[in-house]
Amino acid sequence: MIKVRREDAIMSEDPPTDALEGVEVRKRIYTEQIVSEDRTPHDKERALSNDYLAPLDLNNYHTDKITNGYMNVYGPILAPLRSKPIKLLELGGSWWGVPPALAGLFLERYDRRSGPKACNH
Amino acid sequence: MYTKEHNRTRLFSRIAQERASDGFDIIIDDASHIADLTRISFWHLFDNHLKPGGLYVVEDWGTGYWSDWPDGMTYRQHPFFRERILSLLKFIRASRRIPSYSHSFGMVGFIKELVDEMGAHDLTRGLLTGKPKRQSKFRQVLVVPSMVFITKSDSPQSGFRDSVACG
Repeated sequence: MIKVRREDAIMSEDPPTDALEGVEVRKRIYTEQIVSEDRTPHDKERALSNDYLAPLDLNNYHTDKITNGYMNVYGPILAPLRSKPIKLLELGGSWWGVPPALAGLFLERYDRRSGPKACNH
Repeated sequence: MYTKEHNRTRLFSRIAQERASDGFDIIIDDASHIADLTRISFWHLFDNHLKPGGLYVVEDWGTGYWSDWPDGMTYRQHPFFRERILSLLKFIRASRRIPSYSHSFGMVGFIKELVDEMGAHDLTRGLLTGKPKRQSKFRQVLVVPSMVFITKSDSPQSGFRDSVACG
């Protein structure tokens, strides 16, 4: 379901403690730990794609990107960028859940109350 | 959070200057879903504030198929009068170059404009024997239901706005 939103460009300039800090999203390297070393680079990339949502608790994010199934599209496409620092701008992401949800793709385990957590894989 | 300013492009430039002076890696437009506004945002941000190889995402382009959306319209597969006129033209052999019917309302029309830019190599060539004047600014365009992903070329061409009208 699509909801009409304001014509605002939204970025977190002064984010609350439970929101994404700034626009630089850095993904932790621990995803490599769940990929065995004997796999080919292609297998590694595919494994990262398939596992991208598993560590996320989607109930913590209030965005239509989840209800519309967009996260399932974003995951594989953004997977190659997960090991890189990126700068992301979203226009119209006026709901507080959107930036953390996307950040979750990179941070793997992002808790809205305390921020990213270390992965125990 | 940046709030509405009268000049959208000026706002975008200010955001970029403050947050990403070297450009953004990813830009996602989930704002108005109005073609005119989306077009302005897209070309300004894509040309000026997206890194080479960067990704620009436009969400919810299917609004162009909705008649209750501000610039959308319900899809009609074969407009009656158009089909009758084209049939007549074919019958009397008045024209051999009849365009395919394509829904182009709202965001759907904007997304289809992106195909023109993707085809800049042939578009600027004009003729089979012509020479391309430039390559596309896009490396690829991926269209999926409700979303389109545009990857910027690694070596953007200059002079685009003078040679191809894209809104």
